[in-house]
Amino acid sequence: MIRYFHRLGEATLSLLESIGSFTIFTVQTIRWIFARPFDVRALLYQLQEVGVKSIPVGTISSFFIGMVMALQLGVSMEKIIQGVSSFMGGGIALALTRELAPVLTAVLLAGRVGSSMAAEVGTMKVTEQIDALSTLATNPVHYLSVPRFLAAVISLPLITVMAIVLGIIGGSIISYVRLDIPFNQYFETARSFLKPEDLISGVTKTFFFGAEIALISCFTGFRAQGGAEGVGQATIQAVVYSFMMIIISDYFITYIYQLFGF
Amino acid sequence: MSEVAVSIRGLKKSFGTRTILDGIDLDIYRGEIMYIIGKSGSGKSVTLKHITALLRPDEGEVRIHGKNIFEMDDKELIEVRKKMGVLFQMAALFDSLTVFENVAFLLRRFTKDDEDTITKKVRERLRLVGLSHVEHLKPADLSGGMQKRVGLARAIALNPEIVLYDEPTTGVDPILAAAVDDLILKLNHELGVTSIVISHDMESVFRVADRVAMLYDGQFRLIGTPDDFRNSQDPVIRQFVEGSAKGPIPIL
Ligand SMILES: Nc1ncnc2c1ncn2[C@@H]1O[C@H](COP(=O)(O)OP(=O)(O)OP(=O)(O)O)[C@@H](O)[C@H]1O
Ligand SMILES: [Mg+2]
Repeated sequence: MIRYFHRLGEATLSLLESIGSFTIFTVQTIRWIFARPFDVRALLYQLQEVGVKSIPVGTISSFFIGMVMALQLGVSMEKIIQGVSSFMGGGIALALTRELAPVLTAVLLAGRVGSSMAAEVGTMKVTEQIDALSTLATNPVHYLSVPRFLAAVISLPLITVMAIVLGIIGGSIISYVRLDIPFNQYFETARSFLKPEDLISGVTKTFFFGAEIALISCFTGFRAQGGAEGVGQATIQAVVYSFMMIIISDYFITYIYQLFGF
Repeated sequence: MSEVAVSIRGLKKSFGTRTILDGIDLDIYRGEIMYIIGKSGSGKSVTLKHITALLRPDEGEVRIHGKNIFEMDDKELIEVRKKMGVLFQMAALFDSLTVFENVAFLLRRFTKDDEDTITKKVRERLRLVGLSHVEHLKPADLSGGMQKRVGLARAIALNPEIVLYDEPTTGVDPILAAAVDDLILKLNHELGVTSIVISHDMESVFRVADRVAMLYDGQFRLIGTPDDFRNSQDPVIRQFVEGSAKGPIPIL
């Protein structure tokens, strides 16, 4: 019994310690964004790795999500609520913009980019390359974390916008081909349902998702210990924690946005 | 004696319950070549990581040119580190960068040199460590000894005042080892570099060292000249200098 409490105490302490370190790490990363020298080359490289190379995954997935939604709304829902498919374009556009495209893109990026950030930074940690950076008068947070953070924060909203567009197009094609809904009706309802605040709400929250992915992944990488196994652990943690944080923060961000009428 | 470059006072460090450094003191003078020896796992690399402020001690201080590095802020530490070159035991080259980019790292970040000057300087540093035609390779394509020499070229790119070498001749063939020893001497004589060298290689120690400090059981067992080590009657020192398996130093 006492052993059990002892363990519980230790687990709580280590959780608190991790949250504390993560907060410090976040503050450091944001502070180092403004430090000189600003490494434009590293940022461009990360934009390429994090952003440009994620466009195919993000857009193709969203295209298919749009198509699936058309089937679900048009066939399954139509059986329960007659006439719902005439609002097809609006339904798909709204769901994609507010929720599906942002979260889907963030989760895909967490898998693709978060894992590689954690593995790369973690490998540098266990092979003493991060120590070497420090001795070369270079702050590792400045050199490694800042460009990845900025790249994720810039890329994710942009890819989300592309995902929304592709998703809506995917939905329109299936609506037309399988359900005979004319394109102009589809896009007309999409246009009348969709308000600017939907776009603002959906796209701006990916800014936070991007920050979470980069910070969590770099953080777990920096804490990697003990060779290849440690790097593997860091990678798993990066992906799992990123997924969880995206979903959990999605709820809270949406809740707060709704308080302000978004 | 001349000015103290690095001063270690009462340095203590434990990992968990294992005490690695149990209050060590050492002064290293400007322009001196100081060797730190000791058996594997005695804490030589840990000592080096304190001198570079990569590890924080449980107690004690390290002063570089008079200032305690554990009390410095980020900016001061960066300035101090620009004047220090560190060769890591495993080289620790950046594996996403080429050999050229590794050696050019400091030049790119902290000088206004144009590309031609950087190329010239990188080639010259690589020649100094006996390497050529490897600029465009990635570290993974080099042998261990070559990686180490690239690590050395990277460490001395900005002409540091203090160079720390963690086992520069381990994993390097005997001819190259002699060349690395000559390089340490050359940097020391020509540029007045203060050198701190970690080594097991007693031949190098006797050939190159001005003074030697031996770590044993978390303390410096003896700090003295190579001759002091040769003439020591201490069985621990004798065993290490002679490289014998028999003696007071437990092997496991
Ligand atoms: N970050 C760390 N966490 C826990 N233990 C450590 C850490 N760094 C070093 N140690 C331990 O401290 C001891 C001394 O390590 P150190 O690397 O200084 O040895 P060394 O004298 O350099 O040996 P070698 O000649 O084999 O390189 C070792 O037992 C090692 O396990
Ligand atoms: Mg060592």
